[in-house]
Amino acid sequence: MTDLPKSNDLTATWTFVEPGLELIIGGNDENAGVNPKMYMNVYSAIYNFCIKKSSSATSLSSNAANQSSLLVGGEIYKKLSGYLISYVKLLKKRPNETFLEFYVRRWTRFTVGAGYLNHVFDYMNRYWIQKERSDGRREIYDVNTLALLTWRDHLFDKNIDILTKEILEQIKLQRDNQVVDNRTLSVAIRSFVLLGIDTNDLKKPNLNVYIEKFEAPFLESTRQYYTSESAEYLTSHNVIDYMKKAEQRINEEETRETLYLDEHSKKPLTDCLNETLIVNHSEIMYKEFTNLLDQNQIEHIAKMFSLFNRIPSTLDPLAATFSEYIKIQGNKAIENLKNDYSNELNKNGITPTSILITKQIDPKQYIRSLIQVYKTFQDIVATAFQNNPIFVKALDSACRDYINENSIAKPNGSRQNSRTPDLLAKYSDTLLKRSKDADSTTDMSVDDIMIIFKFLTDKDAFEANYRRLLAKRLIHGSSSSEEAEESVVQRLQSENSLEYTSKITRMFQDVRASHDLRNLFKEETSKDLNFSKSIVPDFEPYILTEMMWPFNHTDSKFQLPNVLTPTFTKLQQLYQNKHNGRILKWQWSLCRGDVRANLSRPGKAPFTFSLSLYQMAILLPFNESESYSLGEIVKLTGLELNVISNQIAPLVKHKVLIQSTGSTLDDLYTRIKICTEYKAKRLKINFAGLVKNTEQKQEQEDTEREINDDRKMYIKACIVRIMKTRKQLLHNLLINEVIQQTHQRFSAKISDIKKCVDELVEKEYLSRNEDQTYDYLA
Amino acid sequence: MSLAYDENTVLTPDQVKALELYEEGSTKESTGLMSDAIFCYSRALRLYDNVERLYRKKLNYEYQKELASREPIVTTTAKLKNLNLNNNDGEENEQNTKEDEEEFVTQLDPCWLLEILSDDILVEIISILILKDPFAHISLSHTCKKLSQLSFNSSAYKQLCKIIYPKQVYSESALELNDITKNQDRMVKNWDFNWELMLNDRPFIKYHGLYISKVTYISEGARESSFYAPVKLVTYFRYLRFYPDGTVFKLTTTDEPNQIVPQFSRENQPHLKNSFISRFQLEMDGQILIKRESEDYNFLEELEIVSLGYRKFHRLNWISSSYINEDGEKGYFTLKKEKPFNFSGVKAYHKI
Amino acid sequence: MSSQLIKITTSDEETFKVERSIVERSVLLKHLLSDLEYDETDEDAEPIPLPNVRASVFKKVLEWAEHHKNTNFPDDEDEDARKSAPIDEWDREFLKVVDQEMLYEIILAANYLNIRPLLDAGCKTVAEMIRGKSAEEIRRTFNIVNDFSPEEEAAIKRENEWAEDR
Repeated sequence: MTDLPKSNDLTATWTFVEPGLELIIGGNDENAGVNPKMYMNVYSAIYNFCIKKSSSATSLSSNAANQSSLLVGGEIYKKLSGYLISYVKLLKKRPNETFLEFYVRRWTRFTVGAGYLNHVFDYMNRYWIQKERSDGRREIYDVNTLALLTWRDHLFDKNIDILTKEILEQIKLQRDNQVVDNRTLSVAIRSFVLLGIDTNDLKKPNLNVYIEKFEAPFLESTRQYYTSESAEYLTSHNVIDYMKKAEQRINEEETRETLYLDEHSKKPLTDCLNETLIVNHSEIMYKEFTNLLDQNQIEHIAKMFSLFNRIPSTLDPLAATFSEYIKIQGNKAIENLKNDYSNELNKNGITPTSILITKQIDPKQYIRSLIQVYKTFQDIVATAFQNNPIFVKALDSACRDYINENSIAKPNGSRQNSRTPDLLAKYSDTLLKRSKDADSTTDMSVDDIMIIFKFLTDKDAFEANYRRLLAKRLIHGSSSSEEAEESVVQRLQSENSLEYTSKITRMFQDVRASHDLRNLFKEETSKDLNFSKSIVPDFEPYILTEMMWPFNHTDSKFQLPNVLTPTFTKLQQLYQNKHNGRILKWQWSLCRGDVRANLSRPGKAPFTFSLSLYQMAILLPFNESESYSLGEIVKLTGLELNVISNQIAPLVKHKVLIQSTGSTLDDLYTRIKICTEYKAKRLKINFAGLVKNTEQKQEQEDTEREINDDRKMYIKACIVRIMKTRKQLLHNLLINEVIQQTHQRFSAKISDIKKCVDELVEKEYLSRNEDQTYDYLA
Repeated sequence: MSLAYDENTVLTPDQVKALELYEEGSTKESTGLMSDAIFCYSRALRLYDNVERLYRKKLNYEYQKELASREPIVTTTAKLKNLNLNNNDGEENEQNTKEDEEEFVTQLDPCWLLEILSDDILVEIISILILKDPFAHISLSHTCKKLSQLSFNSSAYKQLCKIIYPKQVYSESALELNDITKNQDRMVKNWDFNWELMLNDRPFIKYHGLYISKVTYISEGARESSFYAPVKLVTYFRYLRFYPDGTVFKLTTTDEPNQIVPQFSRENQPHLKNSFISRFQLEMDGQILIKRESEDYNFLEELEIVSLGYRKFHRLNWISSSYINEDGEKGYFTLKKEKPFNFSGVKAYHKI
Repeated sequence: MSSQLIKITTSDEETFKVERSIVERSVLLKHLLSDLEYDETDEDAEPIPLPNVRASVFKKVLEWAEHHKNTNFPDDEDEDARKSAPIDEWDREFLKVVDQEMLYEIILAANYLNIRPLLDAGCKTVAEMIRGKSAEEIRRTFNIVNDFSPEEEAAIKRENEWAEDR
């Protein structure tokens, strides 16, 4: 066992220790190792020196005590510090290696050696160094930190620039597809992080040096590299290829990031790449976008999207282009439909005007065209844009536009109301009506209705039209299924509001109540057998709440046929008993019934005619006599001549009634004769349905008026409601509030709102002030 | 020019007389004859103004002599051995000396504690004592110079600071203005990392005992010009005991400390008449604010922590005592008769 | 499956063969083993010298380490918690039977070898010997020479009195 030096002899101790340090920290002969004996000797020498009993233990003053402790550890510390400095300064690069290689080789050994040193000097670390630091001497460090700081101050700081330069050169080579040692780069770059020691908080890693001295130049060189590469690439390649290349480069850089860059650089690098590769060339890509849409290149669109998605702000122009494109496509589709129709009309010798087309267009085709466009682009949004909300919004706003504003919906320009709600209502009617033609409802569905419904701006118009058609279906029992009707209503309810479908709901209630009434009626009348004979069998009364159903009541002089009177009276009685005080207004024009016509040739079964009540009233007298003049019929029925003409036209057409030759149906003197032996292919003929609907135009006008009136009411109600809470409001603010509140039902015109405000001011609900505000008048 | 003192020192007659008088005064003082003692002292001083110094030196000399004869220490074994060798008496003495030798030999045992253990380890042991047994820590520091120095080195002060200061309760304004934190490593920066300085400079409240203020005043009886005027001596005590949660227990009573101390805790407050539990706050400069709210009044007492020589932060001086009534008017109580509080440690309060 | 033993030589040239897991109780030796990538299975492996520890002391240290082979010592982040935790019963007994001189040698060795739990146990044992004693009693227990003059002693008493109260 080598004798350890005397514990109070600094020089001896240091001389003893120094050779060991050389081996521990890595001298020029790297193969020499440290053996346990040397390790323990060095440790013990340091230990002995540190704990040596101070021979000056008699002095009491604390100053001296501090000094002696300083002496104990401080001398060794100073020696060690000096040793490390000279070691680091003497490190030299070999002639056949680059600075980078030299640096990494030495640094790797040094950090390991520093760790060993830290252990060998452990006693000093544990006691003396800790105490010094706690007493405020923060320039004393544990041995490992001391080593790193020495490296930093005497090797690193002097050579940062050349080190960075060589590292960046290596990276450039790698980008140019050369093979490069990733591990060397990783170690070298990591040293920047490890050497950014914050002397105030040794435990925290400090990235200042890394950021300033490495990251900044790195980002700059990256920017330059890719700016020039991307520009050059685009001169000789198309956009699609460019996008592939950009994606490839981005992936490559991300790999590079994980291999040897610090976490901190992730974001700045991403930003740099985004800027040089994507943002700088965004214009070219936007232009290409439209082409890709035309060619339906979903894959390439998806790629473009994934590139732009890295910088969300670049998606907005893309979405705007997308939205415009959809609008154009939507309008084009409708134009094509219009042209086809126009050609049809031309073929049939009718001049096609816009208004005519709109009136005559098949709702099914119209809605289907709208839906097709929607579905095509919805698909693109899902596959290429991954249902990104910006693009969903773009799709929605485009749809809202072309669905409401196309050339069929608004044939006279944009100031009118859109006809789409009306067409959608007709579409629904076709879907929900029972029909002989099984093919009539192919490619139709409630889902499609709801899709278009969502985009309607004038939802109230749809409601009014839908209700009108629904009423007819309910009255005439022509719904294909009650469940289907109810499900549509439910969906409308959930899509909009309970209030929206309130009238419709009421209508269904009326129908149910009417069924109950029918059953009650049956019960009552079947009690008395004799009486029941005079009652119309299968009598289906419908009691309709006046405001809910879209029917107008006009008093007419119609005479109910005698045979029907008992039924009529009985029902009135029954109903008044139940609901005293309610007035029943009979809608004769809507009533229908089946009549058995014994007009067939002998031996053949009798016909069953489905007739409107008016037709019945006209035909029943023929039980008494074979022919009448129109004037007589007028007297008998109490109907107007034009009504009668209209009603008997189908009967005449189908030769049930025979008109005297040369006469017209608008002459009172024209005689009508009944056909006694009637021939027809079918036993059951529906004449009621063949009556021309002269009221159609009237109906539509009525509906329009109803809609407009309702809107005015609604606006006024809104205004009053708003003013009641606000008490006082500026004119413009009021307008805005009203627009917001009515948005769900329809898009209110400012001129309409103004009119309503004026009316309310006149009626003294509001008062107008000089400063453009209104006050609520209670 | 200092006077050495041994048997060979020559003193002037005045000095001798002065010394005698001083010694006499000292004797008188120890038996309670105060005025006589003062009389002797003043005469002694008049004769020789440095008599006190002289007296001390004499005492010291005598003490050293006593010590030398009483406790044979290691360094003097050599002397004694020589004595033995030079003693050519008969066997009797040999017997004695053998016994003496044995006695000396046993007393020659080295202090292993200090010889074997390094300073670092001693500091570690002291640190354990500081934490668990402050009395042992102090006792240890009295044993010898080395241990005294180690017991109160910077690590010890650091540890004490970390025990004492986190328990102090500061006012909000003090906390904010001074950036006070329970992290003493940060606080000590304000004293340049000198823990001892911080402990000396930064006032603190002691929780292991109570502060007692004894007020004595004379309430006079019928005044006559005779030498013996009947007076009534009134003595009462004010007691304060602080707790680290910010409460302070106050009591004013004529009961003596030895009666009060055993039961003086806030749990007993309901049983002790005239006792209150209030809240207190400390400011950085050592001012204490004690607040108490009753139904109609808010009471506020201000005290100041001061040190008395080596007794750090031993005393609380009165600054003011006031009240605020419901209407917000402030009034002051007179402090004329009041006396400062002195701290009195109580071992039983040392529950950690 | 017995692991190879590591040879350790004390200052008075006595050699011990110890299991690695026990050796690693000493943080110093643990670091040495890992830093030097010590392979005890290698026949040519050098024994590890302990220049500062005698065999008699080392035996005691080994005895302690052997007993605590499987003890899980808590993390020593919180110094105060470590210091105020009570002494393990076995440790107390173990250290009670040795004379003062050996006790201190063991503590010193634990410090040298960086065996924290043993160092703590030792220091606490000494602290126990000091507790509850007056200065004079302490001196007698440890043979401490009073090198104060009476005035110095009185002065010290005055100066430090406050620390009892804190």
